[in-house]
Amino acid sequence: MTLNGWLQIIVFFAIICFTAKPMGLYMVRVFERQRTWLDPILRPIERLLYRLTGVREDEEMRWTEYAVAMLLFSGATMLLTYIIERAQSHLPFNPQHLAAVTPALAWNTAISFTTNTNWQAYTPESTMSYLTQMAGLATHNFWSAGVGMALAVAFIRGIARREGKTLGNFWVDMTRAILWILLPICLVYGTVLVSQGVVQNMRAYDTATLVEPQTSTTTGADGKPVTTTITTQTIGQGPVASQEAIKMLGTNGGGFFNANSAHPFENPTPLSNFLQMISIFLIPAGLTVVLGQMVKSPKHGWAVFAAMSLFFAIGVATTYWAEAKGNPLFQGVDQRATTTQSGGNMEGKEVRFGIANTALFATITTDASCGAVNGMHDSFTPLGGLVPLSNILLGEIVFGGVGAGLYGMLIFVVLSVFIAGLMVGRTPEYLGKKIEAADVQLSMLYLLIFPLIILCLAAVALLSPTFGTSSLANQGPHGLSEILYAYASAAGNNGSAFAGLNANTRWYNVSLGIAMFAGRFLMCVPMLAVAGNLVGKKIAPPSQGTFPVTTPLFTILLSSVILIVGALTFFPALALGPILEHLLMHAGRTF
Amino acid sequence: MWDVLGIAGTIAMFFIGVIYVSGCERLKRSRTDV
Repeated sequence: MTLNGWLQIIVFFAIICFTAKPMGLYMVRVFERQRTWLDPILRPIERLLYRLTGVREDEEMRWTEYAVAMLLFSGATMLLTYIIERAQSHLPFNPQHLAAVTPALAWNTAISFTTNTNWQAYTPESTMSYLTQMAGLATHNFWSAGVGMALAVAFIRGIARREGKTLGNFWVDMTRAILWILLPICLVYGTVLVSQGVVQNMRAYDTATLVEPQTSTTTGADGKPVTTTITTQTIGQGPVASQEAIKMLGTNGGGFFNANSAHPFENPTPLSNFLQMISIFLIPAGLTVVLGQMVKSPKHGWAVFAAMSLFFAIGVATTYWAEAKGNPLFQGVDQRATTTQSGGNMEGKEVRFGIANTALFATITTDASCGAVNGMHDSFTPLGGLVPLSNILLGEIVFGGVGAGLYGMLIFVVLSVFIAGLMVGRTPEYLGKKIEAADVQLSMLYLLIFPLIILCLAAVALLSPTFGTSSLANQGPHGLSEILYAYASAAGNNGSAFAGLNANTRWYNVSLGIAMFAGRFLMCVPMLAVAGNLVGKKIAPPSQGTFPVTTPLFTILLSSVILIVGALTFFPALALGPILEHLLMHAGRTF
Repeated sequence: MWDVLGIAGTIAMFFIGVIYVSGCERLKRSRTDV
């Protein structure tokens, strides 16, 4: 570990702390329909959209109407993406004349982008046309992020409103999230990325003649070695910057290229890398301020922010330490960081980013449900890889995905308040609202669906040599980690891959698709039901027995509940995966 | 054939989602009334 590395991590977090409040206050104005400086431009557009779609912006929805609207919107847009993928060979903006996407992959990709997962079981530059990338995938980056923010705001309204019935209007919340927050920032951010060298064009791919031809030997169909001399390289390009901006800001994570943010056309410079990391946390961190402002308890928002920060700090410190320490099996090899080498475990990392920025990126992308990567998590040391996996398994509530992270955290808050109430023997209250059986049961439904999907589907895949483990590149505990990570990433709507698993098979396309659907919709529906239940309750004034949700004690309790729930649920699986791999590595065995 | 299956499967999944909404509403009501 180097001082320079730590300084970059500290500067990153300082910027997140400083931007959270202005970002949050702006979002409050947007969602509470107060005047903003963008109104002269955006308000007419908003009105026009409502007139065209028949939305009545003053009409509020009960939680059931809100949930059904969200499901219908997601279902319709998913089908649209599926059709675009299947028909791309007949549609324009396909200069490479790419064929239609196969049905199972098209379905998997459509659900992946609808759920904000952006799991990619394909190589984008050789599978998706420019039209599919723009109209099928980038649009979902905006829509799914807008949906996530709308859901989070609906939950906050459930807590904040007194004896109400409605949570807001889904169409209005989503439209405002996209028009006032995502689009303006992406416009500026995309331009900055272009200035750094991120590609933005509609040209066909270029072919370059290699200065030094490469010779590759593979095994032919008859089992004999086949030697090929490669003299040219195809250089993929396209409308990358416009997709890159929303990919990070909306915590979507689906890359324009297979290498994602490790590709020089997606993430060319240390500055673009730093901006990409900032943009992942920008909205989720701001949403904690939105929480504090809308429930009229800014300190509560900061208490939640503090709990998130605690997990972030532990995660980044562990990953950086594990990766900087290097590989213990490389005995006699100098792995120290010097002015001429990065030191540590550089496998799967970009030299231009180094260990600190790769460890930081990996922690951020899995704290949030982003899933973009600037290095290969599969190449991390076992303990370094344990952190991204654990972050996803804890529910990605450390700032989290736009909206999804906050409402996931608030479910843990409800549970923490309930446990605190049990400990002192009083009816649990959360910001003056009594937490009753329905709230706790629906919260538990939310929390139990997640491990149920991951562990059941991963177990089926692990026990099935024909369609499950046959896709693995590594055996032993590392192979287990690869399958566990895939299902965790799908159900957690993260989308990053541990690599080493060929997921473009019928089993993985369908089972991971189901995991993504369940991880998004079967979890956010009970969350909305909790909000729908809370919104109708009275707000009791604080009494001596009220558990304060603004203190360090609350932050510690909340963090403990998250850790205990996560540890109890997933520790056995983690023990068989990265922990066992770490122990075996020190015994000299690798996989 | 796979296209029909994919589209029908998608519609079925979101339809299950809508039923799930009513299930959660029932759970909420049953527990709130107690």
